[in-house]
Amino acid sequence: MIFHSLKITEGMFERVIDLTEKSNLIYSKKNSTGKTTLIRFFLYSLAYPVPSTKNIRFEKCITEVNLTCSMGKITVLRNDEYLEVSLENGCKENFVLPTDQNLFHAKIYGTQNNDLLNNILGVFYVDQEKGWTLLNRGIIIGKIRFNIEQLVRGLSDRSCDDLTKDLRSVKQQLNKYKQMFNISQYQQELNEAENNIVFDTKDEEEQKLLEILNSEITSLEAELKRVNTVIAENNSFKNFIERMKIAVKGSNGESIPVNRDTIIGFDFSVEFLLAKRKMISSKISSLKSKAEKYERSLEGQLQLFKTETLIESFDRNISKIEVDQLSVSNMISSLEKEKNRLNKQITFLTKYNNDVVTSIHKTVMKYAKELDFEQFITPSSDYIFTDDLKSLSGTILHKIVFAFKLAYIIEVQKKINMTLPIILDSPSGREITKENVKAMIDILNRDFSDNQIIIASIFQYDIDEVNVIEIKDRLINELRQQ
Amino acid sequence: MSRNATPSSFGWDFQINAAIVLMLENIKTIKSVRVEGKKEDIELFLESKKNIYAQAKSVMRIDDYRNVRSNLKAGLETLNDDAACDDYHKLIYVTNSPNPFNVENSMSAFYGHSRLSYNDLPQSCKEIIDKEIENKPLIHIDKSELEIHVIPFFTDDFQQRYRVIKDSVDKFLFELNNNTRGMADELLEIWQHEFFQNCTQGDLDLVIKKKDLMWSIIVLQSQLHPEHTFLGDYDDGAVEEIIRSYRYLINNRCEKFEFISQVLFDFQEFRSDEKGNKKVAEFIATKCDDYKDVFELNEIRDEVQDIVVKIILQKIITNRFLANDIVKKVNL
Repeated sequence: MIFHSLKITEGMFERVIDLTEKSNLIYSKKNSTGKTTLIRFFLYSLAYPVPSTKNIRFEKCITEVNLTCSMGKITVLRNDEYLEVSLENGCKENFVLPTDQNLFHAKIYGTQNNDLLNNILGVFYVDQEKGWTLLNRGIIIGKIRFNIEQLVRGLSDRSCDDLTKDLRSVKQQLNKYKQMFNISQYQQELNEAENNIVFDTKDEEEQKLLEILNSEITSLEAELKRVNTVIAENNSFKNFIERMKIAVKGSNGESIPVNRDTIIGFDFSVEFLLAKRKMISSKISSLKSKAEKYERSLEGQLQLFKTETLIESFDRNISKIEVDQLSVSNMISSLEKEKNRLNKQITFLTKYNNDVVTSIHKTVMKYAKELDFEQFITPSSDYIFTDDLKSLSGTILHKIVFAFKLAYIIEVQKKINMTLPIILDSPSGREITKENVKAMIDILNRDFSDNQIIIASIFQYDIDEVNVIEIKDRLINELRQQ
Repeated sequence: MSRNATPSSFGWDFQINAAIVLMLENIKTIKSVRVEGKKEDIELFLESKKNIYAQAKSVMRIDDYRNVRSNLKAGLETLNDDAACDDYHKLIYVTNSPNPFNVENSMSAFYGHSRLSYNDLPQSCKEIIDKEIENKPLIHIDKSELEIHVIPFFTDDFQQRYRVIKDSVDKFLFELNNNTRGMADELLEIWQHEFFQNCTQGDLDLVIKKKDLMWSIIVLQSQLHPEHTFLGDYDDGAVEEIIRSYRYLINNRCEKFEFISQVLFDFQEFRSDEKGNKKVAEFIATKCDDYKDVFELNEIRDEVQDIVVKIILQKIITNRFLANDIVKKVNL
């Protein structure tokens, strides 16, 4: 991919930057003139969400970049969220950001591989601040991240989509449980505070009692219904007997009709049930009046709540949430384990027997020898996934980063069959000696002669066929003067 | 029932509970009770057509004697009015103050729950009454029918406040039947509710019949408590669980006349050397299988069927025993 020109328009002003296919040096004698802003404009014009610099608000500017990419020679016009691509044949394609960002990148880089697309910027661009310490994981610029595992998966077509989805969900859950844990700790604090009685919610107690009362009432009402049924059944039995008009003989030979009055024990049954019915009804009515009292009290408390402060009602609500601190913390530790397991599996799938890994390591080793930091790189190809950067001095890290980037570029180019530009913002960090910079430039001249190189610096380098873009005063001032 | 400790509701509460105590003391002779009646705070109507009138006066604090004397005097005046009709059997002044005459050295006479006739009163107290009767004058009071009762009844803790009342109920139940143990709390609550209803009813002719009050005992006893069964051979938990599951069936069978009649007839015919609960237990053990047809389905385990049938038989028979005891002992 090669940038040919970049036109930046801001209101009445504009500036066109022309580039050569080879090396380009954005140069100014002193700092803070807009070199970094210009570099970021290149990324911005390619639809990357890069943060504005102090000098200029990107979204207020219109960029028009001319470049050769896998779509051919195209012009990309960006106006805030709107992207218009003009093809050589005069056709135009429109994209809306950020939704279409990946779609657009898939077209210009010529690959659908999301693992690759997500990490490609980190391959060819080195930011002036963090860029030279970003080796294999971290933030490239703004919110754009770089992750070597993902890149390697992209390069070797080893998708872990399912696993990463699982991992994401585990992480989300973990997050929630951690919040829950915080809540339980907050509750503990509330309980430990002396005024916990205030939140020992009276209404909750009353609510519970009310529920108990209501369920008692329901069961008593069912009992009442049952008793009424038995009363009716006993009555119909009595009627049945009476209808039969039976009489029995008494001990003196007298005739005794069988009816309610003469059936032994019938009155007892009737009165027993009537007494029972009365007792149940009276119990129901007394429970109901108790329940009403609670209901009224609960209503009253509702009114009261309106006058409490936000923090009081928050505390009260929090104290109502039932969080079992122990089971939450068990859940957290089991999710942590699951997270580690998934991570390990993903790592294994990424690294195991992977040619890309070997190849990146080989390239890094090659440049390590040349730039004289070989002793810091372990011979195992796993080294490219290292997270031990603390032991490295600034100078060494700078060189290692440089070597890694070149190794990435080589691999990505193999994959997408297209050269990538190399964009370096201020490669001469504070601790970098001139010799080191020269060695790096030499490598670029020698091994990356097909790549377009864009460097921003206050130094002049000995670069082959360099096109110097000088920013005399601030970039923004020059825009306005045109 | 509102039992906030305001002087008036406290007074109501005392009046109701005093009525319960007086009722139990006269249970054999009374027919019905009225609280807050036409004439008096508590009116007990006797079978003999004569009445017991009781004037109830309470103080909220046990050591507050400021108004006891004026309470007594007002009480005597009302009792004098009651006595005018000459339909009375007894006149009672009932209070919760341990010092109803405000005479320090008379207090030992009223210690605890006391019932003193005029003749048994300390001399100093007699003199106070005499003077009052003479001064007013209270011509209708027959001092030989006058009694002074003190029922300890204090504090906002109901357990403590009703202690003496509950003891009265307990004693009454103990004398009634040995299957009614442990029912005092529940029974007292039911009666208090009944008496409270009565005293708040505007129709002064409405009385509480002794019969109705006694029925509450039978109904209470008929409730299914596992500890009230004769099922000592079975696991308490299992019995409880079975009662829970078969409550509907058990209650229905215990209340259906045809079935009750069948069981009682069989029991009557059942010959045994035992008596009382022992005979019941023997009958149940022997006849249990005859009643297994209460289950329409045969799928229920034998042991469960056993327990359910035994509970039903026991309840039917003990209910009738209790009813007979009540009829005899409270003269229903």
